[in-house]
Parts: sequence; structure tokens; C-alpha cells
Amino acid sequence: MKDLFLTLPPFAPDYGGACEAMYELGGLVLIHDASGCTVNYVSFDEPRFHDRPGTVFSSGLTEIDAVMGDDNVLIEKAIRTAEILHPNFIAYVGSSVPMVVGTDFEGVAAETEARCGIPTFGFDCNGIHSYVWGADKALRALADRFCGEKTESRGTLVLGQLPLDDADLGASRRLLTLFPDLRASLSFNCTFDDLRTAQNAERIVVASASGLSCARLLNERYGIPYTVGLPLQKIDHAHGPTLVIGEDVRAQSLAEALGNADALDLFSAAGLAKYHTIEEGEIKTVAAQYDNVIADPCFKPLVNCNFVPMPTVSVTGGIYAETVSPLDPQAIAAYLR
Amino acid sequence: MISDASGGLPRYCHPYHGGWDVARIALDIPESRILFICPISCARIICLNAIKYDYKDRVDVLALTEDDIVSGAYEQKTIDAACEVLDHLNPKPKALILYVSCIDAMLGNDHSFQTQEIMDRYPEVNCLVLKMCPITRYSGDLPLVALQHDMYQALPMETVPKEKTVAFIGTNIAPHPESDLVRVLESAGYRALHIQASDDYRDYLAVRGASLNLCMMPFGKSACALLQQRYGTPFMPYFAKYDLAAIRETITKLCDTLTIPLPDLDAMERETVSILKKTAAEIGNTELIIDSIATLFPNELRKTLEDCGFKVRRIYGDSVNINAPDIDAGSVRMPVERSYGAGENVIAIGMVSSSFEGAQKTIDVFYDNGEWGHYGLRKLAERILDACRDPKSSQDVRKEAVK
Repeated sequence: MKDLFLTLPPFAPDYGGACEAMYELGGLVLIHDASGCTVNYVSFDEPRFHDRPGTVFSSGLTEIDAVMGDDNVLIEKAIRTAEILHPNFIAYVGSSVPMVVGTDFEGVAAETEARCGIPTFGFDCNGIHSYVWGADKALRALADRFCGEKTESRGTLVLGQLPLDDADLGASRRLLTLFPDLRASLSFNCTFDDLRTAQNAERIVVASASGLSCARLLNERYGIPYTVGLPLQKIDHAHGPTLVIGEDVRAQSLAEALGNADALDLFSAAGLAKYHTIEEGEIKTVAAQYDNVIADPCFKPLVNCNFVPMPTVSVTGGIYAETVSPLDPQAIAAYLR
Repeated sequence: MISDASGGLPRYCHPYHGGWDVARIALDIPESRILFICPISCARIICLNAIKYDYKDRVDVLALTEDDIVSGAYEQKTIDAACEVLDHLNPKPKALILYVSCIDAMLGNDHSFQTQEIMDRYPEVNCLVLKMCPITRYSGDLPLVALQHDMYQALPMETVPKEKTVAFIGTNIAPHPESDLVRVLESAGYRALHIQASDDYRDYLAVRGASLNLCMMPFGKSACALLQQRYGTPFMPYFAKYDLAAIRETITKLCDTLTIPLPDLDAMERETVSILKKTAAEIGNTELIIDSIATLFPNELRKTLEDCGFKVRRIYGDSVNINAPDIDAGSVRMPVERSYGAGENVIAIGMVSSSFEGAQKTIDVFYDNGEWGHYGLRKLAERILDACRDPKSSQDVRKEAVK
């Protein structure tokens, strides 16, 4: 049955992606929820929170505030907290209940900014879209607001690199080594200044679909060329037809590096992968056409062929340790038949 | 005194819950299975905990779309999904729990026709509805109170003969078999019944026949009142966890109520105090920090530990009445109070206080781990020494849990 998940867990949602894109940029981020969505995010979607809790909070939404549509409670909380934390910006991030009551996040953001003078954003996430949707929106909005005049043209800007796309933070750090002339990576291992000077990049690499809208914006506004996909090492190793299941850009990059492989995109519908679905039945049907499947370990019960586990935070939240890395397709190939 | 720190400020949410969530508590009902009906993100933590702790085969999710919510189509979709889940299973679960989330409270659904239709089609399955709705925490019962109540509300109405059984209500973790409480009961021929410790649905049904219910946590009061009203089972609070005088008083009251022999409380107390004092001497000047996620009774624990020679530097907890001018208190909710110490020469009882202070010695305990009373205090003394012998930060503990 469509929408019934008997095997897979729900994947990281839009509010997780939006928060993750903003995590290191010194903003005050309020997820507008009762607390459950924020707990979801800090527990499983944001590995950085365990090492160093960021300024991401739950608005503590109550039934009565939701029913009465009293957005002032939310605004007051944000302003009061901003007076303590002095953030670079404020961001409201939606969840399922604000969707039901139709909270106008852009309006709330505009009113907040008018009252306190701090740049404020509102993202109408609802817990139904994927994390890529949320991260893509957030990155684009931040770049739109904070990138100023271009004063130089130097280095590679990586867009859309999120810990959600990797097995753990160590894997995220290693991924940056692919770019010897790295200028900055949004949003991992970065600062607010990296965001404000992103327009000075010479070129852009879109590391996941989360960075696509932002790349297009910077391309249109500043003429910075961009490429989509990771520059993974190609290998020549005989193996049967292989399916890579994961985030669109990542999965497609790995499939290209391996050769004789296709990608199945779970999140973005950016259009690179051959397939796009999260229906368990469809995944089973597609996987049945291949000799090998590379995917997060939770997909294993859906697959009858040779399985190569490649965990990602976006799927299983860091429960599994890294087995093989997309940075080393040769090691992956050794698993393939 | 710590005030309610959440007023007027957003809530800081910590990522540590000891692997417990509302679904795992509900699955204390033996031979049950859960179908979550919610926007897909709501069930993420539930399913990931289920994978992490190996019970994913008892949790399914029906992901609601915007169309389902707007059109109301999900009422029929719920029945279809429940039937598909049950059709796949042989044998069928004894109970199917339809778990709904915050938006259900906003939409005001009536689930009785859904549960009735499912039970009509599968008469051997008890279908019940539970709610994961933190949004109602100020407008209804607290979520954990409502959960305990609703878990027992699903029991059949029929009464059964009373047996020599004492049931524990209100806690998701069964008291340890070696605990003073269980030993007192079992030595008098009573069966100590906690549904978490069973994998037989008949033990859930047997709660109706308990002679006495012990309300182990404040969360269980409403459930105990329900069980008293329905089945005439008296209940008594059993909240004393670490205060030695209160432990004595509660065990005495329990024995009086059941007219069973009183154990040698003096000897129990002497042994506990001796162990604690010896442990305090061994760790010397190393201080303790305690958080209200590790124990629901941090102040009670602090007082007993200090009486036995430990130095407690700080308690992290909200709405905890400290009433001690010399004790430093931190909030687990107030964002601006998070402090990051060097974590040296300190033992953290709880992962939250450990992460806040960067402690290098951590005792990983959540809601007391069901280890209370003399047994709990002695066990804690062991854990304190273990933490010194094998120091771990909260990050070390977390990394150990990766599969």
C-alpha cells in the first residue's frame, strides 16, 4: 500500500534539512512545534548537536496558541532570546501543526524583523517534504539575503554538503578533501563570513540537491559557473548491474564513478537519477533488476541481491557506523559481484 | 528554587532519552504492534529507536500527505493500512495500537469507528488508540500521564478474581528483580507484575486481577485511579526512591497494607549507608553532578549522597525544588544557562549533565533505570566506582551505541 512503511524508517524531513543548512551560521533557529519535531532533529538528524549543541530551539507551541493563531507568543519568544544570544539572524522553521493552522511564516518573519531589526526568515516546512527541500530553501534564502558585492573570484564553493548525506561527521570532513582549492562549504565546517562572501567563489560544486537552488541563484546573480556532482574517482572494475540508492546527486555521482550502475533518488526529484521513489514496493521492484544494491543498511530487507551497506544520517540517523565510503569506489567495487 | 524556565523562552531539547519514547513505552503491552498514523517526520525518532533497540518488527508507519489531511481521506486509509499490516502477520498480534500525533488533536478525530471496524474484521486483535501529542501538554493530561492511562483503558471491562499479585503502574521500566521492593513482595508469596518484564499478553490482562497496584511514578496516578474504579484494585503511591527514611516508611506501609512480614530494615539501611560511605571515601574530592533526566528525584538522591559523604556540585533540572541555598542549580531547558566546564574531577550522573559540563566520567542512566531504594543506591555506588575505573564522556557513551 502506498505510504505504508513496514520496513523503512521515515527519512529526515524538511525542517531537519533547513535547520542543518543554517546550523553553523550563528542564527537563532526556532522550530515551531510542541517539542517533538525538535527532539527528532537534535536526536537523529543533527550529529553536530551531540558535540556542541547549537542555537536551535523548539518554540514550545501549545494547543491554545495554535488554535487561537497567536503568533505574538512566538515572536516575543524569539525577540527575548535574540536579546540574550545576539544572533546573526533569526529563522522560523515550520512543522506539521503550523501547516494545519496555516501559519504565515513569511509574515511572522517580517513582523519580527520590523520589531527587532535582526534579519529574519520564515520557512514553511511541514514535516512531509524531504530534508533536501528544506535545506535547499534555506540555503537559497540565506544567500539571497546575505551575499553582497563580488570583489574577487577565487576558489571552489561547495554547496549542499550536509552531515545528513554522510555516515558520520568524520565522513563529512573527509569529503572536503575532494576539493584542494576549497573556499568554503555550505553548510558544513563553515562560518557566517563564508556565507557573506560566497559570491567571491570562482566556481561552485553542487554536492547534493540541497545546494541546487542556491547555485542557480549565485550563477544568475554573479555569473559563477557550477557543476552538479562529486568528483569521485572513476574505477574500471568488472561487476554486474548495480543500483545506488540515496540522495540524488550523491547516488548519481557514485553510479557514474562505478560505471554499469544506476541511481535511485529517495529525496529530491532533481532529475539526475534514473528512478525516484520512496515506496517500499517500488524499491523492491526496481532493486530486483540488479545484481548489486548499494544503500543504507535499513534497505537490506527489501533487496534479494548482493547488498553493500552505506549508511547515511538522512536515513538511519547515525545508528550505523560507516562500512564503505563513497570517496573510495574501489573499496566498494571489491564488494560487488 | 528553580522556576519553570520554559516560560517566555523557547525550549532547549536535548538529544538524550535513554532510547525511550512513547512507542517503546506502549510496546510494554506484550504481543502488541504499533501503526503510527502521522506526517512521516513524526515517526522518525520512533522508528530509529526501534531499529537501534531491535524492535522495528513491531512498528509500522502510515505516512499522511497534505491531501490526506485536508480531505479527511486518512480515516479510511487508516483502516486499510491496519488491515494490510494484520494480513501480513501470522500469528496476529494480540493488540494493535493506532498511534496518532499532534495534528490529530488539532483535527479532532473520533477513532472509535476505526477501532471497531478493525476489531470486527480481526476479532482476535484488541485495537486501541494512543496519542503522541505534546501540543496538548497544557490543555490536557501530560503526555506520559495520558499514555499510562490509555494503555490500561484498553483492558477488557470484565473483572477477574483477585490474585496474590502486586502490579507496578506508571513506570516504563520494571523494578529490578533484585530490588528490595520485589524481594519483599516475592518473599511473602506475592507475584510482582510489571508488563514490561513479560512477553505474554495474558500478563497485561492479569493486571485486572492484582490485589494492589503500586503507583511507581506520578505519571501513573490517573491509570491507578482508572484501575481502581473499574476493577476495585486499591493503589498506593510508591514514590520514595532514595530518601532512606521515606524508603523505610513506604516499605512499612506496603507490608502493613498487604499484612506481610517486615524485612530487617535496620540491617538494609546499615548496609546501604556503609557501601555509600565507603564509595564516597574512595572517590575523595571528586564531585558529582546530577540531572533530572537521569533521575526524576535528583534532590532526594543528592541529599542521601551528601549525608553519606559525597560532594554534589550541581543539579540540572527544571521545576525541581532544591530548597538548599548552597547547591548550584542549572536548567536543562534554559538555553542561556548551558555552561561548558572542563569536566575534570567530576562524575556526571546522567548524559545531559555530562554533555553540559564536558564530564569525562559519565554514568549513563535514564529515569533511574528502575533501580530504586536500597538496591538502587547500592547499584549507583557500583556505577560511581565503574565511572572512575573506566572514564567515559557522553560522546564516548554515544559512540559505543553505534551499530
